[in-house]
Amino acid sequence: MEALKQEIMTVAKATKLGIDTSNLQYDIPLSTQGVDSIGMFSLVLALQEKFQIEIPDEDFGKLDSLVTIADYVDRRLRTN
Amino acid sequence: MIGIQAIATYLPEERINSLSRAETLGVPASQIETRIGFTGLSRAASGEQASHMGLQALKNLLAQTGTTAESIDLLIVVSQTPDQNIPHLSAELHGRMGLREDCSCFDIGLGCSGYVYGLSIAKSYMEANDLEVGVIVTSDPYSKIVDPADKGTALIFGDGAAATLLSRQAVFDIGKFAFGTQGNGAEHLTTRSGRLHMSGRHVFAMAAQKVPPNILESLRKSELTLSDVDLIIAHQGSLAVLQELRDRLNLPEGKVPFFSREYGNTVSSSIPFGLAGIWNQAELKTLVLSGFGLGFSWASTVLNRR
Repeated sequence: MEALKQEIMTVAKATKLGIDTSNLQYDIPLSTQGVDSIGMFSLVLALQEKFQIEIPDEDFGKLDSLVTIADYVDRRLRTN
Repeated sequence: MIGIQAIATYLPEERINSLSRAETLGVPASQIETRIGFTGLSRAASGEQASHMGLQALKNLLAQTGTTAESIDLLIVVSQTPDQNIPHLSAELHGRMGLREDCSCFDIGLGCSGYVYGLSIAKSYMEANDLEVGVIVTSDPYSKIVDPADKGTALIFGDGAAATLLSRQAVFDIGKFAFGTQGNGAEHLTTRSGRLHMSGRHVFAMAAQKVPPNILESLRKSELTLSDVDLIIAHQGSLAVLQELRDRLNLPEGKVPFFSREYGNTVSSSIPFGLAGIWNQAELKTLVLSGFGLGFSWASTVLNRR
């Protein structure tokens, strides 16, 4: 799980989130850190491409922090 | 060979201040400046419809080039927001301009990919039927279908029209085309009860994933590569979309410009506005035009300055 968290942080920092990502935090909601809706579009698209998963709209809105995203991706990869 | 001889545009005078509207909608000004990109949105006047805007663009084209209405053999209108569905808007413009009775007229019901599709259809149709003078009018007053309270669409679309003259006396030759459609994306950019609904997430993903390979495919068909291209005129979906395309094509900002900051995404007219803007820059010889949007639908082609 730690390796996956690192991978997700790497993806997030390589994505145009619209904020300075040098101090990006795992457990603080991305919106609180200043990530806007377009940043979330970019991040979720990058995650889909990186992990080869399709993230449906009903799950998209639940992905509010990198911790939540790591848990979600981990679950999806296990069930795929 | 039929190519593009001239372009004229028409923008209504009224502007919506996006920063003021964003404040009303609770959208930070920084998102307008650095992400959405449109600080102003052109607005058709009350009662000003697609026919009025298209007619004005067409009149501007004739005045600009000295072309007579009587010389037009083909009139194509690209619009998804015509005054009415029946009859076709091109027939209405034909009547108002007094075009010849043997002038061929039809509409193309496409959105942001419509101009590139229109070029392909006009060129091949004119060459197949030995027509000398063709005009493509693009006209989309999207403000008629946008809900000003919807933050997903109210800060994006501007009203505008363009008219493109095609003939054998071309400034730009038209190369090969590449097309694409993803019909299962239709629900993500559509109208419901007359109002535009857009899933920004899915539109962004379509543009990011489909447009770069489509551009490369149009180049491959024309036996060119990205390094041969002086400029890509891409549909002006938003600043963020343009930035994503640049990143995925590994191109600098100047190669894929965002030029619509002051008036917005004019749908089918966004590419002709861009082409009109660089018309006299003779150093820009090889161009790619790329349109993409609802359907989902996308298309690209190559232009070469003679």
